[in-house]
Amino acid sequence: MSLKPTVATMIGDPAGIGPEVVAKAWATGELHDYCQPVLIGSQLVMQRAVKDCGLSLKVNKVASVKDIQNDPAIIDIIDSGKFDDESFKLGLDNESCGQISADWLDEMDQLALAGEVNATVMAPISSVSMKMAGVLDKVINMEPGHSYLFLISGPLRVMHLTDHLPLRDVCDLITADLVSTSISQLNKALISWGIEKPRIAVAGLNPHASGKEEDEEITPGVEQAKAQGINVEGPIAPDSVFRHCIDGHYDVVLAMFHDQGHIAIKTWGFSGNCALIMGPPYLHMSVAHGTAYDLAGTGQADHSMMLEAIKLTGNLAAGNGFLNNR
Amino acid sequence: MFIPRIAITPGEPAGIGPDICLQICLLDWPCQLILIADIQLLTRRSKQLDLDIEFKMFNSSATPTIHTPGVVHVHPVQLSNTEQCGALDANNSRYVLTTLEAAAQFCLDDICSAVVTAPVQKNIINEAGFNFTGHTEFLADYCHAYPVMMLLTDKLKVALTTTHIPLSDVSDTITPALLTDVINIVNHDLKQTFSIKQPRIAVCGLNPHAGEAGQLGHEELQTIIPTLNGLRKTGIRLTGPLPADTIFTPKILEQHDVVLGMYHDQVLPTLKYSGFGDAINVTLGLPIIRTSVDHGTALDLAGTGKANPDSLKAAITLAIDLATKKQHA
Repeated sequence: MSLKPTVATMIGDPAGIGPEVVAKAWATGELHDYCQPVLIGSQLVMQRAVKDCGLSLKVNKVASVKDIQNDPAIIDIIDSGKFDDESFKLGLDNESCGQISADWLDEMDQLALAGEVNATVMAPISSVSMKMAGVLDKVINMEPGHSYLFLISGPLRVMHLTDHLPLRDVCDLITADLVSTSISQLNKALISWGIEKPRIAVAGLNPHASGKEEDEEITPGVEQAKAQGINVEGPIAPDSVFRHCIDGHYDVVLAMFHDQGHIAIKTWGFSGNCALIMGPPYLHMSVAHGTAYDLAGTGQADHSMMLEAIKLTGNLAAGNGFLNNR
Repeated sequence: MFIPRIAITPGEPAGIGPDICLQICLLDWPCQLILIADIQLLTRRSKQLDLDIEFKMFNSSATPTIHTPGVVHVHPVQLSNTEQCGALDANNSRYVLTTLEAAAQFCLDDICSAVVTAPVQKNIINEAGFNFTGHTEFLADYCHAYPVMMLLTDKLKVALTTTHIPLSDVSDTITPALLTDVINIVNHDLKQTFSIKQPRIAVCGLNPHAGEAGQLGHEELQTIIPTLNGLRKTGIRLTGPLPADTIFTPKILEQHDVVLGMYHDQVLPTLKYSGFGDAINVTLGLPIIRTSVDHGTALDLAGTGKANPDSLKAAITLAIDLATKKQHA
């Protein structure tokens, strides 16, 4: 792709550190090497964030993607003008901030669905504020068979077959069909991101990957995927599969449930963790940290995860693979 | 001076167990080492590996003497068939179990201070008709005790509430009675065997986000929290239940002596990918001290001299340490 992909970034909850880390990421000048960035949010909020961070960027309000100036010294922001609450307090949950977060996500979704932007990134939102506004359901909930959480921490990449479920409900949900369709969806996505022949590892469910679910569901599911020509191995013992991925034997691990994948990702603890939501017809990324209210307005928040998330999104959308690719 | 006497079982005769047990005999040890094995097997394997080792018959009524590199005492147990490196033979399974029983009995009789086990091959023992889930369970049965599996490295200790059971059985297996027993054992053994005065135990939840106040599962509210509260009243220092995906962070690890997991793969993977070093397996809850290597039989390496004895060295070092602490307790 000669033309860089357009990546929209929603600036996050106005009361949190989202606008500041987005401003600092923009100020590095690195975003434009990976994509044509544009923000979704409020010009006023971004001007305040730029000032709080001691930056000298201009914040330019644009009506649509085709008006963006693509200049690292000028922040381009699509501002629908809906956010007029100037009385909200930094660092506090607030109904209007929750409401506008949902509105901005919605606007970004529309732009992506219309093909005006190629991929999207979400800065930290506050689930409490969104709950106060009654719009928490606007954040995508994972639904096995349709959408999956894909976490990235350096060389360790993990897609989760199931997400926020009680442990006792996990086993019954795992079917050969779910395993095989999710592998095939994952494989397709990896190829579209520029990984030519993806190597996928599937974690087992039981100790040493030996049990009823492996025999009756996971192994048949993996075999079905193999029959489609996918380079997939498993089920592999859950206590060693993540190590193999970190060592570079696989591009990604398919984990069976929330804690299996999350423990690996969080314990490994690379800087630059981010999360992809697999399911929407476009690339949707979010940073792994929260609104860090105690730092809001200080300009001190670390922007490295935000920077990494936007760069990676641009790279994947362009079909150039992961940043530290093999 | 107290000289610990460590009983070592080389485990599966066709695997690397005998190799690593012989390799470590060439080193200095501040204890006496007793190999519980077929003396012909040891002789054959030491020739194959070109190791110069003298075997002496173990006399259980003698007082322990410090290990001399290259000389080791053997309590002989006879193989049924001559072993072949890399080739499993179900006829030798009874031999493997007899070595374990002998080692445990020496400890129960205070003739030895600890047992260190090299790897066995579970499937061949089961094929031979013995119901064998693992060293941990076998030794616990032999000593009529309830075992708690703990793995440790220099930096991290993890203990397990449930071990080798299907994930679908975990939720129902964790009852207040089980959790109470396990925590009492962990607390007691960390005090008694590890000389930690007031052990601080971090307990994992079972569900994502430790159940998120009932939103993601009820076991925390119904079982884990009430049980921990009950145990706190008896003076045990407990934190949790904590979300398992953030329990292995430096802040939490610094403030605790052990992490208690609810199931096998909740806590074991961490040991393997987090650079915590070689892990040693210890069985808590037994009347004897038992440590073990954390690897398998590596059949393809048996007799080649390529097996790495580091995990066995670490397990023996820990056994010596624990035996000494117990002696002085």
